[in-house]
This record gives sequence, structure tokens and C-alpha cells, in this order.
Amino acid sequence: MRVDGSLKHSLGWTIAALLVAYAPQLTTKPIWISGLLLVCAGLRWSTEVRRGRLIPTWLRLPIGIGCFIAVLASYGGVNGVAPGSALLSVMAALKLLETRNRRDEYVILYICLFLMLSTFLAEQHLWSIAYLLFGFLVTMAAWVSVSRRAKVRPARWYARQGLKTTLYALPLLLCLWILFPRVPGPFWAIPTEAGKARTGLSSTLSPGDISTLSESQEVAFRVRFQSIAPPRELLYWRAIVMHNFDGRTWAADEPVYGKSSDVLQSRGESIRYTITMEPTRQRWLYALDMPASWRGQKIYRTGYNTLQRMEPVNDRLAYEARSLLQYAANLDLQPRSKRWYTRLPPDNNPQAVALANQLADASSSTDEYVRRVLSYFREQPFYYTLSPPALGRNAIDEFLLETRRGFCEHYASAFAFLMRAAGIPARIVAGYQGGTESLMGDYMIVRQSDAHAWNEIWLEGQGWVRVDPTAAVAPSRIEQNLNSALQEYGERAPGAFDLPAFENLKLTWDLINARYNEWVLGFGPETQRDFLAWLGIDSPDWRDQATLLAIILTALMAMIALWLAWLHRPPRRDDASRWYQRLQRRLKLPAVTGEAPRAYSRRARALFPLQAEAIDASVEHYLAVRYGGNARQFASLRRAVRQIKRRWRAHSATAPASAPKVPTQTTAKSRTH
Amino acid sequence: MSSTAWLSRRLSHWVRRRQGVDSLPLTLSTKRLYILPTRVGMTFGLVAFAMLLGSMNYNNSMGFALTFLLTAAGLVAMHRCHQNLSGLILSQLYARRAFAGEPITVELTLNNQARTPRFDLRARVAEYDGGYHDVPPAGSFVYRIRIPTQQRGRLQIERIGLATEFPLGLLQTWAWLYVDAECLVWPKPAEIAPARPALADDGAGQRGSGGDEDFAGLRDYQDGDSPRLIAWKTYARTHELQSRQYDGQNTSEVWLDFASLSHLPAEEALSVMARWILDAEKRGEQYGLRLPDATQQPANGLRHRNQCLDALACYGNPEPRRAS
Repeated sequence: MRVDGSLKHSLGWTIAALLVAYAPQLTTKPIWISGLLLVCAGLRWSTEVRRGRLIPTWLRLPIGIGCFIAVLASYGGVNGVAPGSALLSVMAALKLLETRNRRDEYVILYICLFLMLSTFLAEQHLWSIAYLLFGFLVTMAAWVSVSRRAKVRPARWYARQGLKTTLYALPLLLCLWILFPRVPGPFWAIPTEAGKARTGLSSTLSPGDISTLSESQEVAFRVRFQSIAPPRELLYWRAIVMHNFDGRTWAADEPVYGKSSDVLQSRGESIRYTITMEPTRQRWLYALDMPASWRGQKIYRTGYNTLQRMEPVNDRLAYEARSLLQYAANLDLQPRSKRWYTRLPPDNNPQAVALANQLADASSSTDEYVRRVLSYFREQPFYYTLSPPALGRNAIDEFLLETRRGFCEHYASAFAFLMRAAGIPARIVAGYQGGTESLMGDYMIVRQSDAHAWNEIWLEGQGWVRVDPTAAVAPSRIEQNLNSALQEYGERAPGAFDLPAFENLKLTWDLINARYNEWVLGFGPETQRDFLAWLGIDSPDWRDQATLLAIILTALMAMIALWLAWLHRPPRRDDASRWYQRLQRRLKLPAVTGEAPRAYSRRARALFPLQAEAIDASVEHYLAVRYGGNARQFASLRRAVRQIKRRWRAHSATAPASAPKVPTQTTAKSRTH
Repeated sequence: MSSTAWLSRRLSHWVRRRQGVDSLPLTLSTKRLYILPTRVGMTFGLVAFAMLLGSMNYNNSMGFALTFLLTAAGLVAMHRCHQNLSGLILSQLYARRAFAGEPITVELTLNNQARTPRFDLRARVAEYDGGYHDVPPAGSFVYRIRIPTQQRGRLQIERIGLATEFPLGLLQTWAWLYVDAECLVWPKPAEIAPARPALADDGAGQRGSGGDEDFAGLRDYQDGDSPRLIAWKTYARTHELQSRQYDGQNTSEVWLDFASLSHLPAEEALSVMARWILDAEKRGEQYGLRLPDATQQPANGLRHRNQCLDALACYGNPEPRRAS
């Protein structure tokens, strides 16, 4: 079929909208899909410009089937967001080839909307807002161009219409955003995207694990304290407790449901805070040493005093918790547990065992032994480094006596080994230490680079006690941050990224991101409830919310309607005309379209003979002003009009006498004079 | 299809009862405007709902934002669509008469008093489309709508439809205006007409068109003089309209009598008379018309011609036909 070129304008906009909708997926989609889309767009456009022929059906059909099979082959199915959006892109590309009327163009625009949605399902960043607004604007401009049937207008007119549509929608968007009842999903199973690794802690700890993390500036979580933040050296965020040692790797086994709430005793103040954590696709949560209580669905405490969730954290999660800064944990430890926490693999790291025995012999008490071990770390030439040498089979031996270069996991691992070797129950806690205060100081950012590992040992009468051997080697790691610790050891030169200006920039950026996370991404059923409570609407159910939404939405729409009506008001008349209008209003006798003032005057005088003189004077003065009058004449006009007696009812004969009913050339035409 | 047609007819009747018959000029106030979603609009609603479900399922904030933006755009489009038609003035309706078989052109003037343009308005008379046009701010637009005709007589223009789907085509705002207006359809002039019967006072009629060539002089232009007779050269020189006078003009009177065609069926007879009128007018004769129910005194000129043709159209007082 030959195209007639009449779609040219709307087709250009439609293609533009499609390209904008597809653009964010350019890098994530297989190259052939992007290629197909561009080629189809180019082909269709040139067909329109040349007024050529569309590709015939017998050719389109096999191409379509081929593309469908190619998507299947690329993704191994059509379930999930990525294959779904790939299929949408292919459909849009092929639909372009057969677009011959408005309806086809509408279909492509619908696909554009779904493509944008799929972009958001894949990733939501701060720039997504800008993209949303821009993409929506272009789509709406395209929509206006497809809908328009009158004469084609210049491209910027459509752009302005798109902009107007977007701007008018913004207040309603805000209203819907805040008030539309959010229902906790999901309704149907979300296909999990397996294999998408997230940086973060893992449930095992081998040498080198945390040092790789320390390179990442990704945010692990943000925390907002309800009172003053505790000093930095107390900010130990525990996530995983590892206690199963095979000679090289520490592992956490599946935690049991905790019954430890009764074994945690407060020895001082507690602190409340809210954590907003980035998705980890794991089940553990972060909590300040030691979590005593918490608020949030499906969250429980393990027997290791860590918080967990029954489901993996696949989306950003906010929860509240209360922690004890001074505590006594598990004052009683079962003999069985004691045996477990002192277990070491047999015939492993003999030199380390010998060292432990040597130190133990020299100490009179458990406390002294611990002190001696820590001072061993401090006094021997241990070196804090991100790139320690590789360790062999007896890793602890080599580290303690030969290389002496390591990162926190080396120290924690060696320390736990030395404790166990002396019969002291010990385990490793993996989590984060420290955090950066945000620019406004109202929350704290904990990044992956704050990942840390430390120890807990069990002491008679004290329970589990936190010991951080890294602090013995590199106290600045705890007191300041990783960078300063590394600089101290000459590991890292203070670079451009450490300049205060850059740090500020980074913090500003994080502040914006945090607000975006809190108010846009994290705005769910709970945030909504809290926000409404803050507005003074306590615990609304969805019906109240729907009512409120309806009321405010209606009010907003009424305001928009008024605004539109105001925009459509007649242009301001000049002063003389307004007095002429006033005359007509006073007489309740409007002039008819095309009725000249003197004709009106004749008609009005005939209808209101008593006011004939005033009417005549008013109209004559009006004409005088109209045709080059001066201020004095204008004053006379005003005086004359004011003398007209106001009529309260419209005259029955407001319309001019109609032409005789005999059919003439003009059968229903207003009278013209 | 038939059920939609039935529904739209019912709706039209209801609107007519509700609004009554209007006279011009006519302002499209809110109570005359109707608004309903179009098919595109309904699909749009479904798409927005599907996107809402998707956003809820994935608990995707930006998805919600897109869905809400879409919904909001739809809601605002409703107001903009309504406002686009509200307050317009239908100021004039003018129908140019035509011979049966030729289309009648209805001129429909829309007045926009607002300081913003009105976009993409469609005007229709019955189902005859005037197309989509914009009306400029504080200005007007004249729609020219052609209505085909078949038979001579009266053509009733009953319903005028004004509609817009601006801005997004999701909703249609429309107004139906019932104006009691009629237009005449002249009989189609016969291709081959029998010769006029020679009447007693019909002398000049037989002289043929040769008389036109004998230029006699100029006289002041009078209403009804054919534009072809105007001396344009003189006008260009003096700015005074003058008509050329020919010998043989105004010299005799011709009577065109319906009774002389009694052997023909009435409609055919009217066609023949239409042809006679056109011929006589062309020759510049003074011709009169005799119909059983009307008589036109002999005269000449466009106005006279039209009056004669009108009389033919109204012969027998035919029932007005609806333009549909």
C-alpha cells in the first residue's frame, strides 16, 4: 500500500516518542533489538517522505515471527521485565513498519508508555524523575500531533502542547501521589532476577572479602537517629555472626529463631533509630549493637542478636529499631554452646596454637590473656593494608608470624582463632562500622566501604563482649574512617577525592538521593500512613483515604477549570467599549453581533422611549470617543451612561425583529447593519 | 452498528427536546455541551489501569508516578476539551442556493471571543462534514459545508453539530444546535428545452443573441445588473460603476408560462422553465413568470432571476426535506 504522506507530522513525533522511550534501554538490550528499532524507524520515515510503499504483509509476517523467536532465544522466555520490554520494543519496531493510520500510531504511543514503565521497573534513579517528565512530555506532544486533524502546525506548537499537558498534570500527580491508597503488593509472583549480584556482605568470610568491598562507594544503608547519634567508636552495625571455622573460611549457618530476648540485659541507655537499607537480596538486616526491639513486618531477631527478615530484601526497606549501647548478652552459655564456640579444626595452624598457648601461660586470667593478644597485635609490626599478600593453607599461622599484613577480616579471624585456641568462646561479627554524617546532619550514610568485621568473645559474668582487634592495629579506622587509616599506613595518598569540596559535593548529592529515596522510592503504605498522621489524619483506612482523595482531586480540578476559563476570557476592551457594554448591561439589552452603535441606539430608543434621550447621548458620546475623542468627551460618555436607569429584567424582545419567514437567500442569518 | 445509530438518534431527540430550537447568534454555554470519552480515551483508561496494577505489583514508585501523571493528563484533558468549545458563538448561518443535483454550500461562522485560540473544531450540518479547523483568538472562522441535493424544493437544515477532541483525542465535547433554517433547491435546468411558445407580446425573444452585440451606450449601474454588463474599464478610470446598454434590451417583455408546458410532468416542466429563465436572463430579456400559484412581473437581473427560480422551487409548496 502506498502511503500518502499525510501522517508525516504525527509520524515524526511518534518515532521521536518511541526513541525517547527506548533510549534508557539502549545499553541493556541486545544490540540487534536497538538496531531493528532504528532501522524500522528509518525505513518507515523514508517511506513517508518519499511517499513510497509499505513493506508488504508476506514480508512482514516472517520478520515478525523471526523477531519473536530471537527474543525467546535471547532471554529464554517471555516472563519477566527484561524479556517483556524486549518484546515490546520489537513489537513497536514492527508496528512502525505497518503504520498507516492514527490507530496504529496510538498503539505505538501505548507501547511507549509501557516501555517507560519497564525502564522504571528495571531501575529507579534520581534522574528517573527528569526522564519521566521529559519522556512524558514528548509522548504527550506526539499524542497531540496524532490526535490533531486540523491543519498541521509547526513542531514547537506540539512541543508546547506536550509541555502544557505535563504541567497541568503535575498538581494532580502530587495529589494522587500522596493520597492514592497504596496497597502492599505483590498480586502476582514477580519473576526474580537471579544472578544479579549486589555488592555487600556475604554469609561467609574469607581473607580478602571485605577489602574488595572497601573500594565501593555504594550506599549500604542510611540511618536516622531519634536522638543524638552515639559517638563514632560505638557505631558497630551488626549484620551476620559467623562461628563455623573450617581453617580458612568463617561461615554463618542458618540462624535459629531467637529466644535470646530474655538473655539481653540493659546496662545503660538505649537509642532509637530508623534504618533505610538498600536491597541486598539477602535476609539479614542491620542493627546497632545490640538490638533490643524493632518495628517492621516479618522482622525477627536471631539467636545471635542480629535482626533478620523472613523474606529477602529485594526493595529498599525502612524499619525502626532500638538498641542498647551498654548491655549484657547471654550471661549463661550452655556447655554445648561453649564447646561449639571454642571448636577449631584439628591439625590446623599449629604455630598459632603454640602462640596462643605461650600467651595463655603468661597470663593469670582470661582478661589478661585478651589484653596480651591485643597488645601482641599492637606491638608486633602488623600492618593495615588493603592488598595483603596471598595466604596459604595455614592462613592464620602465616598471617600472625610471617606476613603480618592484613585487613580487618585477617585480624578478626586471627583473633577469634587465638581466643578459641585458649578455650575462650569467640565468634566473628560482620557488618559495618562508622558512617558519614549527611550534609544537613539529620541522618548518617553507611557505605559499603564502611564494611567491617570484628569479634565477640564470651566472658564469665559479662556475656558476649565486643572486641575489635583492628582498633588495636589501626585505631584511626574506628575513630575516623578507612581512608585516614589507610593514609596513615601510606596505603593511599590523599587524592582529589578527599578534598573537602568534593566531600561536600558528594554529601549534597547523597542528601538529594536520600530525600528521593525517602519521598519517592520509599513512599509506600507505611510512609503514607506516617505522612497522613503528620498532616493530622490519624490511621485512615482506605475508604477515608479515597474520600479525601476524591475531595481534594475535585477541588484541584475545579481550580484548573477556573484557571482555564480565565485563560479563555475575552480580551480586555478599551475603556470606551466597556462603558458602551455597561450601557447595554444597564438596559439589559445586548447589542447583536454586527449591530453598529447607531443601529443599536435606534432599536433601544424604540424599546425604551422614556430613556431615549440618555441612550442617544450615551451612544453619540461613545462614537465621539471612539473616533478620536478626548478626555472631556470620555467624561461625558461616563456621565451619560450613568444616567441610564438600570433595568432589572431583560426585555422580552432582546433579539432584533427577524426577517420575514418567506424562504430567502439567507434563511437563518443574523441581521447586519 | 444499528444499535449505536438507534442510540445516537434517541440521544439526538432527547437533546432536541431539552434544548428546543435555537436562534442565532448562539453562544455555546455549558448547558449545551456534552462530553464523553472516545474509543481512544477508553483504551487510555484501560492502559492507565494496567499500569497501576503493574506499579502496585512491583511496588514501583516511578511506575506509580508515570501512572498518576497519565491519569492526571487524562483528567485535565477533560477540562481542556470542554473549555475548547465552551463560550464559542455560532454567529451566522448562510446557505447559498443551488440547482438540484449540485451541492448546496452552507457557510457557518464561528466566533471566538476568547484571547486564546480554539483548536481542532469540527463543524457538521446533519452528517455533512465541514472538516477540522482552528478558530483564532478574538476572531472567527467560516466553515463551508457542502450538502448534496437531488430534488428541487425546500431543504431543511435541522441540526448543526460542533465537536472537538482537542487536546489528546481522549474525549469528545460536542454541541448539537437545532436551528429552524431552510434553504431552497432550484429545479435542475433541462439540458434540452423545447422552444418557448411564441406569445402575443413576445417579440424580442426571437431575435436571438445577436442583439447583445449592438452596443448602445452606458448608464449608471443599478442593482441587479449582471456583472458581465459592468464597464470595468470605465470603473478603473472613474471609480463609477456603469453598465453597458445594448440595443434590443428592455425593448420587449417575455412571459414564461407554466400552463404552456401542461403536456409535461410537473417536475420536467419546472426544469424546462428553469432553463428558459436562465436563457432569458443571459439574453438580457425582460421576462416574467406565470405559475399556477405565483406570478413574477417581467424584469431582468440577478435578483429577478433568483426570485423566479425561488418561485419554481416553491411551486406546489413542497414538504421541506431534511438534510440527512
